[in-house]
Amino acid sequence: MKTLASYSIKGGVGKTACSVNLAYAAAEAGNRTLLVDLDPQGASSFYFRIRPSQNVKPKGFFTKQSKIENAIRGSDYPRLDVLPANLHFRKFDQLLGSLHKARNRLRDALARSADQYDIVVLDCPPTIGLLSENVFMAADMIVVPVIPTTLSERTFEQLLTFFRKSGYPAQRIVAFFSMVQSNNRLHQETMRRMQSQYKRFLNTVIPQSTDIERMGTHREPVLCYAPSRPGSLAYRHLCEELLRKL
Amino acid sequence: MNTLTSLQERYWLIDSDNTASRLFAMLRDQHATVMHPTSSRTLTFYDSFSWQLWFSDCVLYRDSDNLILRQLNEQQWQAVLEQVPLPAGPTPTFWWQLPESMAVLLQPHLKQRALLAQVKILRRDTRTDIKNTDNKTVARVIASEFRRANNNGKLFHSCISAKPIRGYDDAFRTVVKALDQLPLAPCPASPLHAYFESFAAWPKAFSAKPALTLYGAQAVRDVLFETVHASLQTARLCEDGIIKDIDIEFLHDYRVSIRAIRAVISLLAKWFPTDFIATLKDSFKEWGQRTNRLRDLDVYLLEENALTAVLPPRLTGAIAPLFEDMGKQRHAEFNKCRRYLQSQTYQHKMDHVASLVERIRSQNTPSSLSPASDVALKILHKQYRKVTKLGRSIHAKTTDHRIHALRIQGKKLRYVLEFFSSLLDPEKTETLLAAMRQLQNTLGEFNDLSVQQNALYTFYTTKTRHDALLGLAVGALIGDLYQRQNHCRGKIVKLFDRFDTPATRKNFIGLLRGDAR
Repeated sequence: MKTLASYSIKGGVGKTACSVNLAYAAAEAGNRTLLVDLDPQGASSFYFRIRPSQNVKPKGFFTKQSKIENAIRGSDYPRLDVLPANLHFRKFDQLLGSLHKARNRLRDALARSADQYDIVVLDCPPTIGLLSENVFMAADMIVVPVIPTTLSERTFEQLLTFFRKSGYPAQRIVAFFSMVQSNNRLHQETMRRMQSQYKRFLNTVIPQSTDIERMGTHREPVLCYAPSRPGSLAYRHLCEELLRKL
Repeated sequence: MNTLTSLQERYWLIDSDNTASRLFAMLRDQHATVMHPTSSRTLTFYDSFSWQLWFSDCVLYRDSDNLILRQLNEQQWQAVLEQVPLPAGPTPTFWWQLPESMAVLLQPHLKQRALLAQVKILRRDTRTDIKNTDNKTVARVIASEFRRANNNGKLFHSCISAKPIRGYDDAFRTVVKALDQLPLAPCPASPLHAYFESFAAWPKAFSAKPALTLYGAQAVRDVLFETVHASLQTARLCEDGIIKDIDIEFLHDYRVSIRAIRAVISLLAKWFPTDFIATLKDSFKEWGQRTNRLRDLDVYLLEENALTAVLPPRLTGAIAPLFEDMGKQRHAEFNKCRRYLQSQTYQHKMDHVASLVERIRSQNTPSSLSPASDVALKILHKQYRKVTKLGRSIHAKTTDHRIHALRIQGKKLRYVLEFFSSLLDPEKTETLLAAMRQLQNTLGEFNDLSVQQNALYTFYTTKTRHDALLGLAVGALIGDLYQRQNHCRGKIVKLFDRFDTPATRKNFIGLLRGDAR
């Protein structure tokens, strides 16, 4: 089982769209896939029309396998299951602070389902706290969407600094440019600069696209309702590139 | 398919009173549903020539781009044991060409056997998704029609199935309850079983050594005829697989059948006229000889990984020319063998042998009419004495030649026990065979190690250009084989002592006293 986390300190960069489409494409490629929605807003669960998991509270999430097992829902697509979020998940950091071995709890919880899945995709909330540190410990790859703007660049640098200072393996971080506008000069300049500065950027670029924005209306991955549109093709390439690297 | 649910898929038969469209209409009245367009695809079922998966209660099939291994139990589809995606194009032929998760499950069943596309079925599915108020699919109902891929696409099976979605158990139970209330018969069989049922023909077990049921009062000529006839049929079944080079087991089984024929002829020789037996023996001898080299090369190439693993890393690359050379020899030898099996000469000879085999039944000498049970006991007695006499003379310094002789006599004793097993006490026979097995395996290994050393020696000494590293590698291999052979020699002495116990003797004496049925 390999774990991919879609993570960024910054909100609104396309983490959930990445998680949802990545999980869908991984399952479509033949992998038994679990999408874990860690964000209390539950956006990725919403995209799959799955209701919040009311019975899963933070303590049960990390300590009782049966709680997770019972909360997992089959999606409408082959080989793809979803562990939906709920509002209780906002208390993850608070609870983790009270547990022993607080940074390994997520890794241990996921390991219990290792025989059921080939790929686990974590959709993470835009925070940097104990839950995020659990994600850094659990994930084989931390996939960071970066909008090529100054603020996104700054938060990406903050993340790298945090990894260096805290001793987390920075080689697990891979980044890709998200919501890119091809006719935006600032975007193009930022991409060129960041690509020359950091070797960890993937070749795939996800364009700014109304097709992707419509996921909320369709409540399904863009790969389902617009499979041959540029946004979908980009997500498919992203998945292929990531699976090759895993 | 969703990855895990505690509930099992359910199947019912569709009939003319309960058509798929009527059932879907009923579901539409009770639930929000979305019906999908009908889709058709071909299911290709794979198994070896000898149906090893089927007889291990497994079924392997390709469904679009997935290769699926399922458990079968009492003719029902059971859990999916493994499912792997396959790229478009031909399905791999051997288990080792498949993704590891599938390969490890198939290896114990298939060994060296190739996967053959044994059955093709056309499947036509009409799917209805049961939705909740969020328009999320909570269960699926699929009407399926199965038709033969050949034979004008004749329909042989129609069923409707309900599939659970993980986490939506209540919705699934509601759908199952509704379908259970209709006068629908539960599906009695998997589509593959229904396919065989429609032909009234089922996979047959294949063994290179056909198990015959003999009778004590049966004339020995009939025993000879039945054994030779059945083994010859088995050998003929293997010819096509050898010619097409499907897998190396076809040649192996062909040779096992021919060897079995030669052994039974030789064992029963004294009950028949000498000239008749000589003609019969000669016919089969040639077929063994003509395929010797190809089988040896198959075995060497099979050992490539094991032999290379013995070498230190700096010599593993150096040995490659040996296996390249063997690969080329194998190619040439295979072509020779194929041409021979396809030749008129072979066909004529086969016809001639078939007529000779028929003549066995017209042998009317008094000895050829002796009862099988008497003959079985006499041969057993003679062969057992030969083996024990030879075996007791074996020690740590015995020559290879004598050990080889023990192997041949032991093999003959095993053949006798196998040929006449239906006339003997099954429990005692199995105990004796089990007692012999380990000894025979080690004797076989001893012989293989000796043959391999000779082959390596010949390979290197007959080369016109000598490469130092290759020489070192070949030398290292010969040294390792020699050490292993010496180890085997010591083991044989111990194993024979373990075989030649009062308990084994008592068992044989039990058979020799006339426990034959």
